[in-house]
Amino acid sequence: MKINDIDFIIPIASGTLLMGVLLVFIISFVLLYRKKQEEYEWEKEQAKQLLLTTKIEIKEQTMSNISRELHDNIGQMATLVKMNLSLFNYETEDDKRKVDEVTDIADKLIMEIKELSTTIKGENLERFGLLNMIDKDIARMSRLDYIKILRTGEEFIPEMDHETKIYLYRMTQEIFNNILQHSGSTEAILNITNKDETLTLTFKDNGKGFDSNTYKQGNGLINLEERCKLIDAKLNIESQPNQGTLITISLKINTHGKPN
Amino acid sequence: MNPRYIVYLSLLLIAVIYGVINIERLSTSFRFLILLITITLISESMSWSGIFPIENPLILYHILLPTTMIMLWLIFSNEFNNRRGIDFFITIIFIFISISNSIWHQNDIFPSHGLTLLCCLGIWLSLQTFKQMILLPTKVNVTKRAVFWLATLTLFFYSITFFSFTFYNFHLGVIWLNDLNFYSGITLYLGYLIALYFDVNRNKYTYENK
Repeated sequence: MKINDIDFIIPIASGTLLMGVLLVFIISFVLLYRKKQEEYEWEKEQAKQLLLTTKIEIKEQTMSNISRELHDNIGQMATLVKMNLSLFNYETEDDKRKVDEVTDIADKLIMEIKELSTTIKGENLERFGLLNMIDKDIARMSRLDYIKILRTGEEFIPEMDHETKIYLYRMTQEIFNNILQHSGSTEAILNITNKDETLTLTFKDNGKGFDSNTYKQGNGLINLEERCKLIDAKLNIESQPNQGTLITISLKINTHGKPN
Repeated sequence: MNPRYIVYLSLLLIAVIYGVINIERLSTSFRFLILLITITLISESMSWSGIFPIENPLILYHILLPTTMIMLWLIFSNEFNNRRGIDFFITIIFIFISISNSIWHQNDIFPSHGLTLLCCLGIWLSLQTFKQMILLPTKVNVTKRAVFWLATLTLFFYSITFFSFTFYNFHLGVIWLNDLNFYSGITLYLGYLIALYFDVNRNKYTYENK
């Protein structure tokens, strides 16, 4: 090949240039695409979290309204029933016994309404604290006589923001509901630890369990996962058929008690 | 027969067979791609074997050019459901010019002007596809997206064809321009095979990235 032959030099030079331009274009495209892909994923995740937060806020608002209705309306009606019963003029001892029985039931009803109203209202977390609210739930469920629930571990947990407390509390309620409805357990333990700036809630039951490898997630578990994601908590579920279930929620909190 | 032709035609045949076997799993765009490859296979076979049902074989290229333009538009417009955009008008104008050229200007010679327009259309449509991909990214890795291979190979092939045409009349002695066309054709259909594979398995790759 003659180097000075223009017939060769021009096509080779322009061909190389063309290929170079095309390659640079494709490489730039791939890099730009990846960047756009990351942006798209981030925006999608943000939108998902916003939607989830809104959903939870709406749910909290609804529960707060129900709580108010229970306390102000149904609770008042139950109190009125009790007051009317006390004004009842009975003629025989049998009547008195029946009225006393109904009064006892009305008392229990008033108490249940009061406690239910307290536990479903998220704002009460600020008033009573997370552990007290969990204890109220445990007491309420233990009264059902289906299951014995214990709480062990910390008696004090660091202060954290209201949102985190709400999520932890609702997750606790969700787990207890799942234990009551699906596990067939007779005993359950909630252990709370606060070590190495990590708050850990461990739920253990002696129920029928499930195969965690093949189990299809229901709404309850999906809710737990989503709530954990919102507060950067880690969720771990271990279970085997007939060997109960162990659920762990761990959350990093700093020395001032605020989640990292 | 030249071994090159055998390689080239075999590759086209493999792409057609693969597409026909998996036709149910292919998206609309890639069904049109199979149709285009089939048309190319038939015309190339006729061209190289010398068996023409008509007296003047050049007429085949005059028919093939607007057909390829329509097919390219169908392939790319279906990919992003963009049938009424600027691409449509450009394709219509190019087809009109190509047919006019075949009737009144290059009616008894090879339709090089039409081919140049086809190259421009191929480059334009692939660039538009890249733009759409940037505007509408998905979770799937870009190299596992059929449309990426389709657009990349189309861009390379038509750019190289356009380039080789630039020098064809001025450097007829440069044999490697023919080689370049041959190898770019082989690369194009290998790329289309990859694109077909990713389109057939698109659900698998979408699921993997969920």
